[in-house]
Amino acid sequence: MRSIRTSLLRQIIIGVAVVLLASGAATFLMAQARLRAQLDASLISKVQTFATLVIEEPIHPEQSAEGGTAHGELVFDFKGSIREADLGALLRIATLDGDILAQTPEWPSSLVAPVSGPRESAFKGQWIRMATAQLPDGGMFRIAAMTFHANREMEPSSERIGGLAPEFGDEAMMVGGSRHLVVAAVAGRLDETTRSEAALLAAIGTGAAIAAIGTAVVVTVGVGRGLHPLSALSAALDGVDPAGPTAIAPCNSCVRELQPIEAAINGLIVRAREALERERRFTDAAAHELRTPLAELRTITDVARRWPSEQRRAAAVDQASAIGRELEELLASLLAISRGQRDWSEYTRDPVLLIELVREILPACVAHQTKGVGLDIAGSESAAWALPRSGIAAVFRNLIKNALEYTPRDGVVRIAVMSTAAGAAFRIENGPVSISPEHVERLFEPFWRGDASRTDRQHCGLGLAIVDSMCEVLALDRRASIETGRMLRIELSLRHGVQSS
Amino acid sequence: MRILIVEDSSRLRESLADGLRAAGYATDATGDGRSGLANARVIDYDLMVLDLMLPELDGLTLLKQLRGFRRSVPVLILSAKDRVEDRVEGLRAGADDYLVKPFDLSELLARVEALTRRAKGVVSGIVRIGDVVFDLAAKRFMTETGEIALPPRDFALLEFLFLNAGKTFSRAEIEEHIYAADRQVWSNAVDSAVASVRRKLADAGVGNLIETRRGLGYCVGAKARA
Repeated sequence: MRSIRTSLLRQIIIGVAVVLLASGAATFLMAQARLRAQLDASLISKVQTFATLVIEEPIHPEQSAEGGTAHGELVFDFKGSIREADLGALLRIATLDGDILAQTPEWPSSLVAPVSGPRESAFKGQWIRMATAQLPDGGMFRIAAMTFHANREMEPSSERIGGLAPEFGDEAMMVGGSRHLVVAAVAGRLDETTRSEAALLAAIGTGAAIAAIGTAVVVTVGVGRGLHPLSALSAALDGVDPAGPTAIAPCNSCVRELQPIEAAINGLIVRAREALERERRFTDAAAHELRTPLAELRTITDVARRWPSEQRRAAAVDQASAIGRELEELLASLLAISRGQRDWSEYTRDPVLLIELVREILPACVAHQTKGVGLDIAGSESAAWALPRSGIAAVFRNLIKNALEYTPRDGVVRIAVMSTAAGAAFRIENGPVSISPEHVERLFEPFWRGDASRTDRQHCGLGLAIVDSMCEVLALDRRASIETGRMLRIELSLRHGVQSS
Repeated sequence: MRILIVEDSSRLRESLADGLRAAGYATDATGDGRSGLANARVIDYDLMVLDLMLPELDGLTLLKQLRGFRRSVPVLILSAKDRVEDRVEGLRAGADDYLVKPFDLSELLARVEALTRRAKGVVSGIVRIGDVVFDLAAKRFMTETGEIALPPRDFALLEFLFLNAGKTFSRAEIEEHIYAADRQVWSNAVDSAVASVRRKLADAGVGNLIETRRGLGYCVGAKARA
């Protein structure tokens, strides 16, 4: 079974985990890029520094006189140690032709400085290239290689080229004045950086894990507390007495979000209780209605058995048979009410001509009518309802039978079918009756016997209750009233909004 | 003993009347509350069997009005209303007993008998006057030599006088209690019944149990009531 708590926890924890993962990864990548950039900057700075120390020495005057094209010797003018331990990096300075001017002893033979490919920067005859190299032994290096024209040391009296040489003390130096192209490379081991990155990753991961665990704990507790009102609501529902007079007691601790639910549940409980109460009253009435015929049956048979005579026995058999028929009618009526509410929930909408239907069912209704009740039928031939024919017939049959049965001798029953602007309508009047206006609606209650004419036991008192139930199913508006001349009038029309034919 | 049945179900009303008549009671029956009240006001019934859901005047209203007229006739409510509140309401309105439909006829007869006995101040089911014993449950008059066989009219007369032992009743009063309203009663019917009973008692060896009080009526066991 799905649980709000589990679902909330799962979604929040997954969400937090994703956020932590993404932010951790972003942090790590930014830090890694920064570390690499710092390493590159350090290597470039070093290589530039060392490049300035590569100098072409002045040409001897005799050499100059011999051809004028001779070059001075390149020297690396650095007196310190170039061991890796002292420099913090590896250094290799060589001419483009491969003549090594200086090289850290630890420089791996397989490590090659890049002299072609994309350049990191270029400035006045200096080209810097960066590369990452992995050696066969697994060592990783970051290399900054600078290709440049070495500075040329000038004799104080010598000709200056382009006037570009600055002065350094007593010596004159022409920056980039040498015609020799030199490649200076500084290589830094990536192991340290990799270790730093691993440590950073571990720190970020640990932080994220702690944050995730903390979030899970906080969220679990928070969700638990947040869902407490649901538990309170559940407890309140558990405490509702189905037969009690009230719904859920007002919940002081109820959160705002649950108040509509509480109100809806209370409404549902009230409606359910009303429905149960209606059912209970109906069942009570039905049971009550059954008691009298059962009492009749028992008394008739008891008397016949206790004081037997042929006359009593014959009368008892006849009366028992009549009681059986009445009980059958009662049962059929009860079933009609019970089943009526579901049998017509789906139906076709073929128009049914009302006056035609009245004429069709009338003969069966008046078959046993011997009281001399006058019957008057009038109305529009075209008035129709797009409702199930059997449903309308059941309503009309019960209304007409009820009117005929409860109209006194020499009374009158009037049936009218009308076409109005709002659609077709059906009206039946009978009388005179002795029902007071305030009791008219009670006629539609099951088993109600309000006036003298309705107290005989030949009728079960369910006819109009069946009509009421069916009208509800068929979406028919029903109105009942006492009109002039003590006539009981019942009118039916399609409920507003229901399409008429 | 004369009983009024007020019940709207004609079948139940008629079968009840038939059964009570067969049990030796005179019965009147009506189907609505208004005529039931009218009957109970003018006739001194020994018991009333009353339904509650009645046309024109419901049973409870009838009962309250009857008690308002200071009529103390014992009332047995016979109703389909079976709730405790209904029974309490009926008894508080002045009923002496309440029986829910459907019921067993023997139970109804036992309650009728108990109510009539209690109303007459008889505490046990046996009434002895002189050498005659009346068994209310068995509906028999006995002497030491055996049962006194009495036809229904004679039985009703002697039963009435036994249950009201010590009291003197006029012919009209006796007639009112032993004959139903729908029976054709001749003017000397009571005298004729008394004479018949006296003959039966004499045949059984019992002396003059029914005393004649000149100008007043008849009386049984003025000095010897059990």
